[in-house]
Amino acid sequence: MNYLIKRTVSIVFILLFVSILTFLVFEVIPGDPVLAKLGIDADEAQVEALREELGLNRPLAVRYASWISNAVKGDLGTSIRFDMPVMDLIKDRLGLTALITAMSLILIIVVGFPLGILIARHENIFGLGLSLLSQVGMAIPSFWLGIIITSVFGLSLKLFVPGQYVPIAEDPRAGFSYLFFVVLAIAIPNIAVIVRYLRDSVLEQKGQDYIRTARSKGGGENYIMYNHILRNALLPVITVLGMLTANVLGGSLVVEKVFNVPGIGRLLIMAVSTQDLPLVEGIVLYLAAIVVLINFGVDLLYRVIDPRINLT
Amino acid sequence: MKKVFTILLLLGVMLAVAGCTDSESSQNESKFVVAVPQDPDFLDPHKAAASGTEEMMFNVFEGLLKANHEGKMVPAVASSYDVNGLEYTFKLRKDIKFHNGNNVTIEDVEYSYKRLRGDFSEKPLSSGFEGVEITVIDSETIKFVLPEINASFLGYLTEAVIPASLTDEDHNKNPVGTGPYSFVEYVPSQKVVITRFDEYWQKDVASIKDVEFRIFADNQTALMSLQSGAIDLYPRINAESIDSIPEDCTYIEGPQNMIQIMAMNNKVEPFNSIKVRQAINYAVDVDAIIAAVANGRGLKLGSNMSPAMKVYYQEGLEDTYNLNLEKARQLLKEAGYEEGFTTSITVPSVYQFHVDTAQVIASQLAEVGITAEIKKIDWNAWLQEVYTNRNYEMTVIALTGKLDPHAVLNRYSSDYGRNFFNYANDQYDELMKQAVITTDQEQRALIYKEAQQILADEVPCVYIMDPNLIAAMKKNVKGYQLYPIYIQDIAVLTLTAE
Repeated sequence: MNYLIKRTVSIVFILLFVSILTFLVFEVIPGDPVLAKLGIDADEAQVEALREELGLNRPLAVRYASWISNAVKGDLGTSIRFDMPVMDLIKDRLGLTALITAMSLILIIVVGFPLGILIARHENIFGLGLSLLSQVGMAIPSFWLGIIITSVFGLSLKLFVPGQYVPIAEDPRAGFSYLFFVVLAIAIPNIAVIVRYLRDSVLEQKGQDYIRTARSKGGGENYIMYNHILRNALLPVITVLGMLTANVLGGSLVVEKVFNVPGIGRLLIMAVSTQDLPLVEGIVLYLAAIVVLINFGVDLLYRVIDPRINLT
Repeated sequence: MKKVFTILLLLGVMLAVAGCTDSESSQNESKFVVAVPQDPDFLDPHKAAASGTEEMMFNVFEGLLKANHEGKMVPAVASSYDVNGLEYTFKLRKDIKFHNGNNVTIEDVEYSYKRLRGDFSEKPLSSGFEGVEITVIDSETIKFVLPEINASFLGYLTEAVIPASLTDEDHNKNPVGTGPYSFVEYVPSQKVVITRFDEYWQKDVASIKDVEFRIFADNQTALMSLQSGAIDLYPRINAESIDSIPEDCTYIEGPQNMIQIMAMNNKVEPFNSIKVRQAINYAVDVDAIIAAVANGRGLKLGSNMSPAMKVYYQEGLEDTYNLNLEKARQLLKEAGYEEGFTTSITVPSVYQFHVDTAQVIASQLAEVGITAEIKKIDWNAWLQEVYTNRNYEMTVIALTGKLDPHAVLNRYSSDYGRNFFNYANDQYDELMKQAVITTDQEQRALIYKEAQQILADEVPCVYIMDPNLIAAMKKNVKGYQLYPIYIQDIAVLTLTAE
């Protein structure tokens, strides 16, 4: 219980720190949200009117104070670029990115775990081949994979129409099948990572004394694998999986642009490139919260897998 | 081995599920899809300033006047008008309706232009109506009285007429206008949808019914979408992508009234010397740039005006500084830079076209001993450092076209707030002031031509080209018209059965 309180307080501080940092970064990097929105051909009267309306002429501390006091009340302000409440913009997209992230994680686990175990079990040419393949997979950037997948599955095989995402609410089947290819582009490099970790971890456990003991007690190979080796091998892999979640989220940010999927990533890229501070703050806060919470969840999961771990 | 099969099977099933849907993806076939690169800045036409917004909303809004494809102002919400010195009198068109079905009244017209003047907000929304008296004469006549002569005033009357009954919030959420298409919905970073307005004052103009402007953040994605057949019209496709335009598509190209320049900071050494600027102009081979960067698809310029502006364009300036390394070296010597010098070209990294141009220029300048380092910076940094703070040496950028020659040329006036060239010339300033108060169109054109001549003589910039606009479209799309402004006129398009 004590642990939970401590953890919650630290999460709040982390988020506060992130929000201040974002504000400061935007103060330092060059740019002007009004010009970024209206372009270089805008009438000067329009530029001035908008600057006044947005209150951009106020000092930094005042702007932050007014923003944070609204934020704790749940009002994240209005996006400069889109002229809409930040909450509305995020709400519409967060679900989609969360779905993409969840689907990617599932695919990573469903494909990565068995593949990792398989490679660890077959230390021969077959295993080596798969290892090599995973090495290649790690080296491929998601956005490039996205272009390749689009041209193979979209243009040649015509399994989906490039750039034409159908919202899941409109047509669940078309929506999911489009997302499947998005997920594929994100998952493949991450599958490669998980496979490597699992393989190394399993091989390390395999050589341990307790395995020999288990074997001498007459345990079958499968029994030993799933009840002894895997249980111990999984621990470092879970840590990596936690970190991969952030990775998957980041991958989604990039791949969304390639596939023209209206997720949070495209919104974030847009927000940063147009200096839309309220929107960036909102998104960053949400993403930071998700990553922090997932790490928290991973810590809790440790305990379930290894009861010896004491969370204090 | 069994597990391998299980995995493969699983993947196979997922693929199969995904593959089954291709037959259904044609559900929005009836919509005419146009690829655009960016979101609108505001839907409210009086607040919108970005050319990317105008590109779409040109179809939705009209002012008293409207630009046609030649760049001429023609009556739209007005049926006729009369200019008498400082007085501009407009007759409202009879039986003209808003998209919400209401008739356009003279009060709506009054409201729209008073709103632009800033009557209902802290600051004006347009600088064109400052000090202008707006008076309703009767139910179909409105009069504008200017405080002083302003030859550019008619251009401001293309600003949209919108219903007085709507609130500011409505104007930005569900905008209503009088154009051939009415606004349906805007989904941020996805699409803007418009539909044909059947009670448009001009009968039987628009033929295509539903139009979706689909927003693509990435050129490559848009191109692949065109190849897959999901897009009907892709304006502004890159010149190097022309070979990737699929079989069932075609393209139209022409000048787009854009001016690509390499600006020099006229207040910074050595560019404060006219000889240095001329030397650079002689050293830069514009023809080579057009060939290398635009695949030859661009019109060579000699001053700050595109030939697309037929009436005002001064011909024959484009060959003033044809490549002449001897002359360039001679001028550098006269200016005291016989050994050349080291400088930089700052260029916004988002525009590959400008980055490529800068690279070609840098290699050309090396021939006369000028070492130009290319500094790629992000667009926001460019806006701040170059455009606002004028903290740069040379930069490559393009200025989008305007219908009003004043907006194009006044950028070089010494008192103009965004004169990032830091160019100052009393004679030029005088010409600009004179042009504003000259109402005789021929006389006015002559003044602007003279101004172009000054720019060609003193070369505050290297004037490069008007890159061709290349619009790719399906072969069944007919009637596409190039405009000298950044818009897509959907009403003139028709689809043939094929």
